[in-house]
Amino acid sequence: MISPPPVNTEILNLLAPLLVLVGAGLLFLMFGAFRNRVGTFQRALIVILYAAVLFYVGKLWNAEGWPILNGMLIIDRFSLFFTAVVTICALGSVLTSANYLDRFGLDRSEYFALLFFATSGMVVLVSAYNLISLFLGLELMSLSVYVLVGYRRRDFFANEAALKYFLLGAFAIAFFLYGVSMIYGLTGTTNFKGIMVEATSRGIARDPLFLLAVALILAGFAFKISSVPFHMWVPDVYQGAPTPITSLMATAVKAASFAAFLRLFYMCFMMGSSKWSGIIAVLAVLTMTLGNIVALVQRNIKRMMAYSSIAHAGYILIGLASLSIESTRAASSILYYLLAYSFMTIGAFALISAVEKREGTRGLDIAEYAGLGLKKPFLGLAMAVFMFSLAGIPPTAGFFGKYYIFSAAVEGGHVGLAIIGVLNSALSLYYYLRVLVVMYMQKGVEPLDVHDDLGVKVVLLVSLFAILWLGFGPERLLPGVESILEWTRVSVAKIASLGM
Amino acid sequence: MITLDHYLYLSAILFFIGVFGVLFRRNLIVILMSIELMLNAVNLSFIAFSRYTASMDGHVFAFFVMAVAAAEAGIGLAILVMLFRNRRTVQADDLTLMRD
Repeated sequence: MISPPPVNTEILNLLAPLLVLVGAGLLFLMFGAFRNRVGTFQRALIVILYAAVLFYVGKLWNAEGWPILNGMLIIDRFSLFFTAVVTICALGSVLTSANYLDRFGLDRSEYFALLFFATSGMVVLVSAYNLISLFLGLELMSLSVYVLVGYRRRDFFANEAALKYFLLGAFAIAFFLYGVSMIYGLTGTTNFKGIMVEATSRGIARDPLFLLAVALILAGFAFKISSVPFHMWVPDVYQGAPTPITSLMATAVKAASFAAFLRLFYMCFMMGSSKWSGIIAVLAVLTMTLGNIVALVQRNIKRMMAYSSIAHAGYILIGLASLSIESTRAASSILYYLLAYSFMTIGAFALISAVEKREGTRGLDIAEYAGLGLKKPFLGLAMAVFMFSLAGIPPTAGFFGKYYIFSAAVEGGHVGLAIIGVLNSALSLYYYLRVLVVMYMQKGVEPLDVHDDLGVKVVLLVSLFAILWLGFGPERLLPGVESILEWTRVSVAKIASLGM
Repeated sequence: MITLDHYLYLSAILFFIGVFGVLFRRNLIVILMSIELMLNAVNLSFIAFSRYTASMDGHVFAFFVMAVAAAEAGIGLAILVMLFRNRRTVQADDLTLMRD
């Protein structure tokens, strides 16, 4: 397949989502120089800018997926799909932020500028077609999020969370880079297609250095997707960060990292998959089991959600362990799962941020949710759906997400993985339903003080709708998913032609 | 005669000195320096491979790593200063507010 380089205006068109985000980030830095507080006008502008990104994604959907900028980025359906996912997650975080920032006295323009930069980093990450742009996207995203985590400067918890996240993040990135340098040494290129061609034609998969390099790169990604053994930071950072940022980390950061992970491994390292799929399978089992077991004893709801997000990373890793060159079933189940998981997590965190308080007990203890279900019927209903979906009860999106992942695992010959996954989701039922039990069956002692403003309600309503829409007609998304994974054919054809 | 292997061994040694620094030193500033050492080890291996494979990508990558490492150090020190102002400590063992 020879790709004609598109002409300049076309490149600008293809880059439109990214340019809007970077421009918006710069614009909000400018606003910050003149006026610190974020008014209604700016808030409306943020929503419009994110909507513009979604609009451009829709407009580009049928464009040809050529690599652009000298093979640095590729704008195909896969990257557009994930651009849309991270934009929706960021928008959810913005809508939850408005009221939260007011209450916590954090209402500053830089916050939104950093959010825009983080989102543009994610867009670079999901569109990366070269290890250099992959690294830059990863760092742009991470550096912005490090600052956002520590945004409550006077708060001890936030300081500690930011520092832990930063140190471990930088440590993991160093491992990732060391792996990348070895891949570069083995193949002489950093371009994904170049690596794929070199690796398949020269049989690099048999080189022990290759396995070491893949393991190091895996360590870098395992940190970002919060997989065991790089999960220690997750509960502390999720607890210390402002709740809308926790929501961003649990959804957008994870989705973007999984997207890059999937593209890199499925495209470049597939010929050595027999060597690394076992490692990923072990990580998957450890990650979901640890996440679910430790979540059982959590009293703080943000920590519980942190362990739950570790467990969900484990389920998605099952999909990655079952990748095969014969079918895209596992890959498409990962896409479905990430979409479903993002919606339920954004919704749950929007509700958590509405209950959170600045003083005293901080409103983060699960016991403080007592009586919420009856006093605020809509919030109660929404939380019930999110928890059912996270636990994987039909007919929610969470159920079908798990169903696709587990059936892909069975199809790929990993029956054991699927069984452990099912047992784990049974285990997770306990702590998800406990929240509902507290909400509906226990009487609240203190009067509840819930700040569910318009933004939070919109987020709840949209995620509720999305979960049920995906749940009642899961097949609606599947034909689209095949076209999103068009790019995998390139590597599959190449590997097949060599008879490997 | 200095070959590619020598550079790679040096880079591996530097990298693991960095790893041990991160794992066993308790002063946060020393940990930050150890991470910088790891990134420099990576740069060395990029440059060595770049010479060996006679392609410029490795040089470009090393430049990007340096630029990003500078940004990272800036943010890391800012976070550290913030922590020091509030808590008057730069020891990793004092960061124990959040426990199950």
